[in-house]
Amino acid sequence: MAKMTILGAREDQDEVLDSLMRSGAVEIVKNNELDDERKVSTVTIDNVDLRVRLSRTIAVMQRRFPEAKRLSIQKLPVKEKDFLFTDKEENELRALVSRFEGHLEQEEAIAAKLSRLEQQIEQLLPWQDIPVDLSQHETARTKLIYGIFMDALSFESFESDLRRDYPLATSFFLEEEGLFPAKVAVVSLDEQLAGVRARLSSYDFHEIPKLPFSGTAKATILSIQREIEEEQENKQKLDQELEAMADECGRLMTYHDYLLVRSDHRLAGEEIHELDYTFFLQVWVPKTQASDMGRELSERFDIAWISEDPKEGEETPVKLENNKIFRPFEVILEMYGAPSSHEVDPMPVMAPFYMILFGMMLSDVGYGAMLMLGTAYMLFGRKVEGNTRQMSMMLFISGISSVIWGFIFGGFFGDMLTAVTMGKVNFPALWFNPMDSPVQLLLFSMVFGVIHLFFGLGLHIRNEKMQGNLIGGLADSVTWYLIIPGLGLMLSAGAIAEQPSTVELLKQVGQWLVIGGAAFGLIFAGHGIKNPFKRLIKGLGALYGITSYLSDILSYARILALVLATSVIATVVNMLGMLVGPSFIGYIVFALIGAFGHTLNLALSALSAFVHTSRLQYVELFGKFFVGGGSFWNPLSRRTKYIRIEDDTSSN
Amino acid sequence: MTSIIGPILVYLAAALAVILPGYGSAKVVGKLGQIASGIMAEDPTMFGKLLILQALPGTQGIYGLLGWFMIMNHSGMLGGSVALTPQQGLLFLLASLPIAFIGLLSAFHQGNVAEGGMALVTKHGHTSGNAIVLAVMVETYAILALLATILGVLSIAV
Repeated sequence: MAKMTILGAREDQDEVLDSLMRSGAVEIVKNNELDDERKVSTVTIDNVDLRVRLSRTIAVMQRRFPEAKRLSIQKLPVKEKDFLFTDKEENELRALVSRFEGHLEQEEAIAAKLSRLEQQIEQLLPWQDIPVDLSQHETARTKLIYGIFMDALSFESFESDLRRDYPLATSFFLEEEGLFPAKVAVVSLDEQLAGVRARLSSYDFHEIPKLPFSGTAKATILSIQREIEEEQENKQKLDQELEAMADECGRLMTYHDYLLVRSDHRLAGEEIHELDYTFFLQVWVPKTQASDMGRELSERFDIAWISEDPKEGEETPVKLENNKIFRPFEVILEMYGAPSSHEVDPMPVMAPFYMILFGMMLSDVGYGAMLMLGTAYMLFGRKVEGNTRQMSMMLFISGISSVIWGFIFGGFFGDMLTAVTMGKVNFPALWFNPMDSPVQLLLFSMVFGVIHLFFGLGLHIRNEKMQGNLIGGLADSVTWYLIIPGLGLMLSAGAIAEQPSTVELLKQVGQWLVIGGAAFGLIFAGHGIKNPFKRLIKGLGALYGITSYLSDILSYARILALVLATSVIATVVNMLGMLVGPSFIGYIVFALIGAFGHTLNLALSALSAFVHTSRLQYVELFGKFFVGGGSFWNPLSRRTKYIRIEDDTSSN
Repeated sequence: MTSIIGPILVYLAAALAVILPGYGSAKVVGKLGQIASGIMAEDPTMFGKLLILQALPGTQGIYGLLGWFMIMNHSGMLGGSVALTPQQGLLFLLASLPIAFIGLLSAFHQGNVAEGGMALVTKHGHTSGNAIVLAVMVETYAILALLATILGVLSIAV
């Protein structure tokens, strides 16, 4: 990275910034002092507000209209000349959004009204055969109450109440007598209404709701239905108009991204130091592009520029550069945080080990293939972009690794072949089956962990060398390069060789390795410290690090646990599936249980593999060398959400 | 009478291995699910990140099932054999204790970390990787306990 300072005339400021954005090759050096006093301008708020409304409109369009939905599958290619809006066009699009929102509101109101009307019909339906005007609630001297008595007992007690207290009131059945629930009309004198109502409320009586219509129930229902039809026509008309507006969806998407770019442009502009007639800004540029960039800019604009190396110890943005296979794994590093710009890129160690460790943890040919299929669909079918694409690619590659390890450990959906054929066919393991010899896998996991850690120590040496402290780096690493294999030899000599003399020799070798390593640590760990006593203390302290190594190595035992978890649950699924036995129906049951169980197990095991592989990288591997504290390369560019800007020239 | 004590102890061992971690996982995953729904009521796009955090303490239940399988399989119970002495049965019971108890306890503790992680992720979306790793640190001990159980079970002569 080089730091480039550009000095130019105020009138060119916007255009210079614009061409820097187009190049996508520079990152503005942030002016930290500004951060505190920076205020959000109303322009920014308007921009954000409009963008939110646009996204909402676009989302509704894409959800409802297939024509608009088609635009969402991939980023919409838009020509450079179409990525520009005049004030008139902007106003039109804004009006369109407002109209669309207004229509949606109307639509909602209609939907609410429709459901209210339908509810009214529902309430009236039981009354439709009663040829009485139900809205007629009074005569000159009486009041009428319509309603339903739920059972004969309440009705009779009510009748006797009436006879006793209000002999002038009476009730009629509106339908056939004696059938409950029964529709009843209660007639009372005006002045007795309150008393009659009080009686009614103590029985199981439901009064008909008051309706804003007059006439019989049947007539009312008919008129409500007519109203519903009218509203539905209105709704259809609205829908058609909405669909017509959705034709502009592509334009709205372009406009949204145009606003986004403009907003980024303005934010970047705030980092520029403005003087009366000139401006200057500082940007980070990849070293190789600095002079080209400067030349190009000075040809087009009246500017002066210089590019210089970063000062000693100054952090620069970190731009990872890896080949096609390693690049997808950068997501994992991005999740952790950026390395410092003064250390090596951990990807060349991290990526291959991620593949291998993930594959081991999900070692199953079937699951690996399913993972590959799923991610291949995301990559090539849906053509996802950005982070999701990287993640899918990473899982796809890890899926390949899972298939390979599946062959090595002999797993195909657990023991599916064995289960289906009732033990006649076994899926062969190229090496050994972890279910049969877990201890072997446990040891292998730890040996593998040691290799992983040693690569991490290798990176540590390179980091220290970059800092000019090669001896310090070697002291931290070589000690363990000797001690750990030495201890391993001493412990496992008996398992490696059979002859007692060889075992003894191996133990001797191991012993000397340990002693050599410890001596190396004692001497060099305190490299640079003059006082021999202090130096010895420092060396002893370094040797105490053995405890952390032991726990790091033991941590790799999780590989065994996860391998077993995957295959045991798969085995349990197969066992459940074959409970019915090897018959036609049995196989159908097996297919159903298998499809469900294995999908679930894949989801859980892949999540575990992802999480635990990440952990082994972050904690065990990174613990050996990672410094961190940098920030990822985040170049100024035309960031878009919905569209892809195409050069006018390239597409012609 | 003595002939059934062995098998009973083995079943007890296997049942403990499933019940305790399963209980811990279910309880914690349930609690995290409630928290996640609360967060999603504000911001539904967080689903993916929250789901992973919610699922993390669920592994203890799986390890428990794994322990159950290893015990049932190695003792021969899964194949229908019930010829075990009380001493063997007791050894199986003891071997199941690590995953049974550490599975239960680590689920609770991991749940607490995951809960904090959810708050972290809600504030700073890009830190989900870190939140996951912090929660996974706790799981290490469940894994170690599972290994202790598995190796312990395998070392019992049947």
